[in-house]
Amino acid sequence: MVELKIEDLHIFYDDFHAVRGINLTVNDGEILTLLGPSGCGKTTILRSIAGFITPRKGRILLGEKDITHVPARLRDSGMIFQNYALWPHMTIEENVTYGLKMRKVPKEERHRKAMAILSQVQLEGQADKTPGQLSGGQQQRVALARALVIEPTILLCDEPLSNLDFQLRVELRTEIRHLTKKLGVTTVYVTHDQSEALAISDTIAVINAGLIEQVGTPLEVFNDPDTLFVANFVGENNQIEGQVTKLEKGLVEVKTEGGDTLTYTNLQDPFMEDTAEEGDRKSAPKLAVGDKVSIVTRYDKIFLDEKATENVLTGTIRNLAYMGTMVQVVLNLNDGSKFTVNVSENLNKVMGMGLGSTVKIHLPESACFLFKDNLRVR
Amino acid sequence: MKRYMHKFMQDPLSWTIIPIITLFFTVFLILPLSFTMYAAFVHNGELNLSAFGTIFNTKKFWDPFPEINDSNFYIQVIAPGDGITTIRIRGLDYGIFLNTIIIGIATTLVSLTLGLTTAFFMARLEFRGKTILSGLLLIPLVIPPFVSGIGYNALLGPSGLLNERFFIPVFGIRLLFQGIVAIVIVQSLHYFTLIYLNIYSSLMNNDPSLEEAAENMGADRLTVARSVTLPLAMPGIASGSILVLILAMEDLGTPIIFANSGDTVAAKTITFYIMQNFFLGENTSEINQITAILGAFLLLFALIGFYAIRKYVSLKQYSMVSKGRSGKFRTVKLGKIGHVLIYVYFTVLLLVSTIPHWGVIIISSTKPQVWPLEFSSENYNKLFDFENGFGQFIYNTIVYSFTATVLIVILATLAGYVANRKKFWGQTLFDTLVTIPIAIPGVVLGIGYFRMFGNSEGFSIGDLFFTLNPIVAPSVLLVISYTIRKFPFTVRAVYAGLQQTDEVLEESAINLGASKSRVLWEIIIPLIIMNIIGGALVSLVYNMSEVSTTLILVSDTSNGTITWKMAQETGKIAELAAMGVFLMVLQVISLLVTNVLLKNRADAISGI
Repeated sequence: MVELKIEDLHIFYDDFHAVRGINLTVNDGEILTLLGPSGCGKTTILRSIAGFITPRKGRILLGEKDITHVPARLRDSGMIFQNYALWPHMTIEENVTYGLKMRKVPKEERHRKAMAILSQVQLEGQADKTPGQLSGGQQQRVALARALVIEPTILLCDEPLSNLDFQLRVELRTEIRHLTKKLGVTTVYVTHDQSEALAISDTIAVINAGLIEQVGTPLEVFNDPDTLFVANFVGENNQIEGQVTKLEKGLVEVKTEGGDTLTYTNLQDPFMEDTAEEGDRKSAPKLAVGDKVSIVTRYDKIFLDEKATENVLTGTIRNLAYMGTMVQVVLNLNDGSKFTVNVSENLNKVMGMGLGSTVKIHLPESACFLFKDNLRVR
Repeated sequence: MKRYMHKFMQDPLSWTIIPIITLFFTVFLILPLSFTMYAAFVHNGELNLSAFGTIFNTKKFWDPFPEINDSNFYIQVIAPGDGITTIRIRGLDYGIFLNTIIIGIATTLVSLTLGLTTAFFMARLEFRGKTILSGLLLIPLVIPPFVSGIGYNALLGPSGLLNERFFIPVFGIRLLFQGIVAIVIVQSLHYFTLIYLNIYSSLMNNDPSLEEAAENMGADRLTVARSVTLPLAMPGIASGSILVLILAMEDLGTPIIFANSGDTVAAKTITFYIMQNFFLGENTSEINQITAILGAFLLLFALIGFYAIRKYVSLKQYSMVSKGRSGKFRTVKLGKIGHVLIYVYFTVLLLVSTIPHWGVIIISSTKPQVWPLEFSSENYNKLFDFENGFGQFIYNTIVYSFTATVLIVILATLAGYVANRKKFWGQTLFDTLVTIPIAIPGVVLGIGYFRMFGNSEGFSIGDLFFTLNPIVAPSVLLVISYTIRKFPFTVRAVYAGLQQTDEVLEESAINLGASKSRVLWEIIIPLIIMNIIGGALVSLVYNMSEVSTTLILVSDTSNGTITWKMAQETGKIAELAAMGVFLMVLQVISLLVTNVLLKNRADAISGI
């Protein structure tokens, strides 16, 4: 069991700069998820760890060993592919024991290990079937067994659940987390599904356009996004554009495009120098009067409240959707932009409101993230 | 009948097509073949099995342990005093029956070796000039074996250019390939491309992540190839090989060329023997029983092969297992030495496999027996001369092939649509009926036609409808035989197109009130028009170079085609070569258009 370290990784597809300088550490036994939209480079990073792509610059270290230029077959990684990649001409047992055969494990032991791992993934009786005879979920379990049976130094998962339906996805992600934790194998997991990432990971690295936006625990990434991109990609949000109109010690006032006024506590010392450098994602930008800012609010952290007096927007109800535990209210703000509020109390009353009626929306300060040029204002 | 009427009312289009096509194929495929089979067992109206004994007791037909002597040898070196050493490589004569099987197997093995190697190089290596090479590799396909033999003889024959101007002056050696060996060489140079195309498309259609998974599990390149790539390409390897086996055994064009240039062993193949001996006399449609038996065996081999492809290969079609394919194949980028080696391989391969092409081009466009070569257009001038030249034959070829192709387009589009979209009892049988002609030996169908429609002292259908009588007017039956024999190419292309077209598109039109025939015209045909044209062009190409039924059915000059004329006058090599070049040009144009239309779906060209 080892830790994986990626240093200043750059990967090109011909002239396209797909991965633009990534630094990452995956601790021993940790599940790290690369989360991002399609085309962001997350699969490319994973494939370079597996050895299918050679980076133009940077190093990949597995433990003390530099594996950047080690052939894929010698890296001792177990990989689970998006489309399972089970060999259709082999039985399930032959699929699972293939890696052991390559490692010259004796026949009896191969069989024993295959049976053990197949029972771990609840496929005891299926050893003699071929992949075509199994369902999608079972095939993915075989793929998991095949990757784990070799006791890999590192487990690599390339969107392994994206071809399955919702129920199975939830079931299998629990199973994958359970098994990898039990075996203590260091894991890199790629997905574009934020809820999957939140559920399965110890650490999430949010990737956008070949760069890391934020690395943190699921809690940190969800509740304390560093960038506008992370805030929008993780969770369901409204985004309002505005301009800083007043800046005092302890107070920021923002006027939205719809003409409403929102105020926030200013934690910055207005007399401090701006130290943020371009491309530096960690340092908070310094605000000035006239700055354009974006405010992001979660659907479920804001309220319809007729009595609210501060940080209030007005909106017209356009649609009400009853979702069982809540009602999703879609509104238009003054400037015509769309705004969504998830209401989870007094559902009957909310459902009784007529379309077209005007309501007050309360945005508590704690429900808002303030961004300037993609960076969080703290 | 009542049930049929009921079905008919529901879907008049399909229930018109199914009986018509079935009837057409029954009358012009199943019945003639049955007549051949009948003639194999019945002689003078009585069951006669003694001819079977004759075949397996006569050394001419069956000679598993041939004696090695002056005319029967693998390799012979003659060094007379004049300083020219003649090396003859021939292969033993095992009798007509075994020769044919040996030729089939040997051609398949040679083609498989070349095709597999080439496919692997093209699919898994990265080197400069690959795109150009993939085009060049189609060249061997555009020469029918018939023309191939002529071209080969022009360069490597006893007085071929290579011998006269290169081997003899430089090495003092005359190198001659004869008999079985010569036929296998000429066939392999053509057929390896078919296997290459089949395997190449298999290799490219596999899911790249299957190989990556093996590599990830620790397999080196050789192990990946052996344990994953090859087994997954097996359907392509098997279908390509069986197809070549069938085609090599039923090839008539190559043996004719060698036999007519005096090679007695080359003459001893089943097809050539049938062609020479089936005809018993002017006033009978009775056919020589021995030829009917040999034909029946040929048919049997072909049917077994066809069945094997259908059963075994479709069982092993893996492509549907994994959900979608991801990424590109990991190819090996060649270095400098690798580039040199790969260029050497392809240069040699292309040089050798285009020997026939160079042969026909050189011999047709230069003055005979003049060195250095001097251009002459004489042979080409004769091409379009109706009086003394080939004008009549070119005209006939074009009329027959185009008429047949038009029929094919209409019928195959309808048949392909019904076979793919309609569920009905006997569907598999129907599908088999319209695709099996690809495996049916032309000579066997030809003698079946002859027996069924020719003159006879007893009853013959030719007496009733004498436009179908090949002796009175072969052209009608010829067009029908072309239509039947080259039907599969178009029907497969249509089928492939329909498989890629979602049925929902039709359902939504029907939902909006369109009738089935409207849907066919306004939705389906526009969507698969490229496949139809592509398939039709392939059918056309093969029609133009059809040899075997033509030779059996046509007996007079006025109805002859290019290939018929070529078989009649094998002595006039240069003029024949000019005609061969003309055929090749037509084929190249058609294939280029097909390639553009069907893009990478090249397997439609050769697929069963």
